[in-house]
Amino acid sequence: MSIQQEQRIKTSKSKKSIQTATETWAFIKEDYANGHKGKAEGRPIAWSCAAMDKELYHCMGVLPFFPEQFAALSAVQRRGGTRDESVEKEAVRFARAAEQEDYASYLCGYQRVATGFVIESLRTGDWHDAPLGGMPKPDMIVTTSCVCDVRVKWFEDMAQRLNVPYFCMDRPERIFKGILSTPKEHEVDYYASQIEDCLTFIEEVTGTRYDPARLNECLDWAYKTNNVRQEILQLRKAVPSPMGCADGFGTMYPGMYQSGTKRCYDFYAKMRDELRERVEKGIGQIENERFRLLWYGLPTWYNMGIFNYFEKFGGVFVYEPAYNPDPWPPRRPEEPIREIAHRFLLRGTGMGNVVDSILHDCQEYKISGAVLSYLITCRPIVFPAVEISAALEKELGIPSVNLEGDLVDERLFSEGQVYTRLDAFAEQLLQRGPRA
Amino acid sequence: MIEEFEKTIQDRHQAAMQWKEANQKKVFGYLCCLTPETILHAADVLPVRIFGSPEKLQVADEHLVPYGCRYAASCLDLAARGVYDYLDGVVIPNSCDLISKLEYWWKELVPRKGPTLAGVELCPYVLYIAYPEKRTGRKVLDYYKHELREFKQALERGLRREITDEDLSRAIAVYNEHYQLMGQLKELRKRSPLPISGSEAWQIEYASQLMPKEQHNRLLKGQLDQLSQGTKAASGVRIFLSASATDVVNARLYQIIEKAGGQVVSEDISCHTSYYGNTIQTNGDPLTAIAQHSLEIDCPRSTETCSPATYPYPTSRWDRTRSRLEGYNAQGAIFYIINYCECRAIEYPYLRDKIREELDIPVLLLQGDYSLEGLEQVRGRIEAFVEMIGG
Amino acid sequence: MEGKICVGVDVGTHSTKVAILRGGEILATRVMRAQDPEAETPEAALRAMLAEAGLSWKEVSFTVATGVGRDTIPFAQRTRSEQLCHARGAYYHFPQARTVLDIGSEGVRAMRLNEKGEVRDFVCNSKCAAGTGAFLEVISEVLEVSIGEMGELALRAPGREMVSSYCTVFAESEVISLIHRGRSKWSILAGVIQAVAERSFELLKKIGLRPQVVLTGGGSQNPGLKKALEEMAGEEMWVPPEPQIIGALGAALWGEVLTISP
Repeated sequence: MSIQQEQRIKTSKSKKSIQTATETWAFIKEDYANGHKGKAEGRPIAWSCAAMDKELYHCMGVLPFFPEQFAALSAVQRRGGTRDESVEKEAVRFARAAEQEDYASYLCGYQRVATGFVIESLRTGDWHDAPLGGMPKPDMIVTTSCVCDVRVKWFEDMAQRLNVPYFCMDRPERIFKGILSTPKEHEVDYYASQIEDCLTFIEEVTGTRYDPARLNECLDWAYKTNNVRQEILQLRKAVPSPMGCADGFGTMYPGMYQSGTKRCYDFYAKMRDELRERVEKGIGQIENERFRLLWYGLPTWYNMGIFNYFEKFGGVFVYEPAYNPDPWPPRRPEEPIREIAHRFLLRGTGMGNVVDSILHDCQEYKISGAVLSYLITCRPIVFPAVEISAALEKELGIPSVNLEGDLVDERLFSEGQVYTRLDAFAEQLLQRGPRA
Repeated sequence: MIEEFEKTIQDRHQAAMQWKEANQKKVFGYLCCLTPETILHAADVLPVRIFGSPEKLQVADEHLVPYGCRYAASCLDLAARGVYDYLDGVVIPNSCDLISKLEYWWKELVPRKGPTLAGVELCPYVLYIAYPEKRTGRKVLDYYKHELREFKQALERGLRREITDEDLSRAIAVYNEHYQLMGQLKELRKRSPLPISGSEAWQIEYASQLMPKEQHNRLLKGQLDQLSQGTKAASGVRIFLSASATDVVNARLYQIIEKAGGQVVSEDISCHTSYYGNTIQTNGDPLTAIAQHSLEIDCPRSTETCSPATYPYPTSRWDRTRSRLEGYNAQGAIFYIINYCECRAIEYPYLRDKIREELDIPVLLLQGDYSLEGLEQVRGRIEAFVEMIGG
Repeated sequence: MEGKICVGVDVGTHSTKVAILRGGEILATRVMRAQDPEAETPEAALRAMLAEAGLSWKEVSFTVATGVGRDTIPFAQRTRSEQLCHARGAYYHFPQARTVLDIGSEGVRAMRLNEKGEVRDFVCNSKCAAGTGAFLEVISEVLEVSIGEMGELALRAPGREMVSSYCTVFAESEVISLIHRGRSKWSILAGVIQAVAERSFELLKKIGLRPQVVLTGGGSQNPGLKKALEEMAGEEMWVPPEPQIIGALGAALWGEVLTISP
């Protein structure tokens, strides 16, 4: 490939297969606009993260913002919204500000970008010089120990810098054979106590009383949404693949960040309908699907065009396990807090659990090759990479390729190296032929 | 320095194997000081800490990506090479993203069947403890006590013996003496002139993680008597050292600092230093007391429950860091952060600012890859730092 | 002229520098390139310099060595770190110096000085070579431009390419792809120097950038780099005469202090 083409891909957006995916951007813009309006009206703002139970915010009238999502947003935007390529991405500008303060460059890109935003905003006093006017200044910072150590320390650090109240939901680590298992009573007790304490914390910050009926309402929407998302996942198993990983990542926002609301449910209901139609009509991502790929890990947000890269070889990305939900056990409206704890703890957090889960997904989605997003700054994603790769080859005969980079910091992404590797991988897959 | 300490330090594996042979008892290895050693001790097991070595990885790098802490990788590598084959069991607590995952790799790379009854494994050879990430809060102790009970039960099944409250209390008494003696050593290092060099203090501490505590207590008592008479003095710029593990790589760091004209007087390395001077409660349920005590460690990875009105965000890391500097008249603070040690890397800028602003003490940041060559590369900075303070 | 004779030796990986002071005044300096097979040993150089000045070895009252190879000078009574020597050398020329940036081939370091010229804090570049003299050498090979020409050429560049990568390996491949795209050598050079300046400027910002800023070390002789740094800081930076011997000069000056209170 010529260098000009290469350069174009590094900055290109993904090509979307489904219509609903184009509506995510409006969803995000609306949330930021609401947040700024809410802030002006004195509504409580929380900064929080993925793997938190978002229904807690919605039932307490809190407007949540997510530094991780903000970092991803900063990875695609340049200052002032310009398209001038000589202006660096906002993510790079913020990451530099954090590194200037001696935050190590091997730290999570999300952490460096969000912390850089805090540092810059505190320094200039201007909280709006950022994509979509930045995240409104928080009244509280709420994180979880789930997934990684970084988000605990990072959020603690932001709370110290911003001098705002901090809460961490501690999720017990669970290691067992398989993917899901019923949690033990003392684990449910502990996580339920964390949710209760979190609600008390939000009560103290906002003055709003916790109302179980309100939580149940949010959970009803969350459950309905999850059911629809399970349908979507079933539809995505179809051959040819009706929707790819760019759209998967591109549409995760409402479910990840606004679960427990009607508009989130509506979003996925519409998406399900669209997908159903595509599957019924046999419309695939591309005309002649020759091989199906799984994307392990988180995306390179500054380069979503990479998801279309294999199309010229007849390859499509079919499934990305990262943000997709498990099926949930039935509702228990008489004890909604224990219900959340119980469903949240079903999935194992050990290395073996991750490996088993990917093996399962590859079979379910008829995968013939996996791209392991080898995020050198994300320990929980990168640690299992070698084991996954070995297990895929050994158990299922599925080859995989590593793709080195960061989530949001394009400086750690060497496009030439990546595309050479992907080309070789495509050739390898074409030689093997379709999976039996 | 005492000969027995040196012998253990020089060949820790040999020392453990000899003990095993002489006593006909079991030796367990453990990672991280969050491990409740007292429960192992109560079961007549010798707990020894698993350390890495500065040698190049030989096996583990086929499984571990290079973007993770080399210290943890090195521990696994030694195990995969058979160096730790003398261990009868391995305890891995949930103490950070990588250490907790070592439970998986250990089983993969060092496979071994635990004792079985009718074909069913009674106690896994690698025991995992789900230490909570939060040290404080309403139900933390209940949860952790439960985890420790399960750990104790697994041990009991594996060793085919009951661990009674009396056994636990006996172990607690030995460990409490250790904590008190180490507390006294810490106090001595506040003195000026300094009665013991940083390297010597390192030796005592390192040996304490490898030899039976009864023996260490006896030796240390004699040593403390000598030191408190104050015949010897170590001189140099007084340095606080924050690093990642009390082991041979950090031993070199002590030597480099001393050669440059400095002396380490206090440290935040392995967090077991937060045990010193702080004993396990002896009234009430021993398992609860053990759980309580281990929740008091200020591991950089742990967090706390806060209250919007009175304690909005955790400050204990800074509070403890301050106390490690202030009483010791430290003149400079050196942070040696192993690459990819994220918890320490994230808290560093905040701690650095606090040390500079509130204590007006200069701070030096060093990044390392857990290798002796890496330390040589930062030797010049350490020399410049000590010269800068000492003039 | 009367006064104590003090010698400073700065042993770097690329060159060794010697400075002789008499009564606080510079008497002689010399630079020996490491790659020059004819180069004298530090001892021979010092003997020759002393002889030229009509002095004998015995008259030297104190010798201080600095630089990465400072422990290899057997005739030095003491060693001092580069940080302290560059600061003292810069302060000797400019008592207004409060920030000193040493752009050496092995590393870049920024020092903060108090009004007495004492170092209060310093920061060094990370182990990665990007931003150091060694990095410029890699790029000079890729672009087939001599190190000496680099700064001048960059100054005359009509435009500037963006070299964003901050790893030497990445930056090198970025430069190669720019060459393939047919971009002018001059503007690529300007981009590279900009990238190096940015890395150095990060250190300056970390240390506080208090005026007067003084540049020392071989890199400070690169006019393109100096200009780029001045533009970023929005203020003038000073370069002492013979900036590459500032380390050796500082070491000799330390000799004066250390003879009084060794």
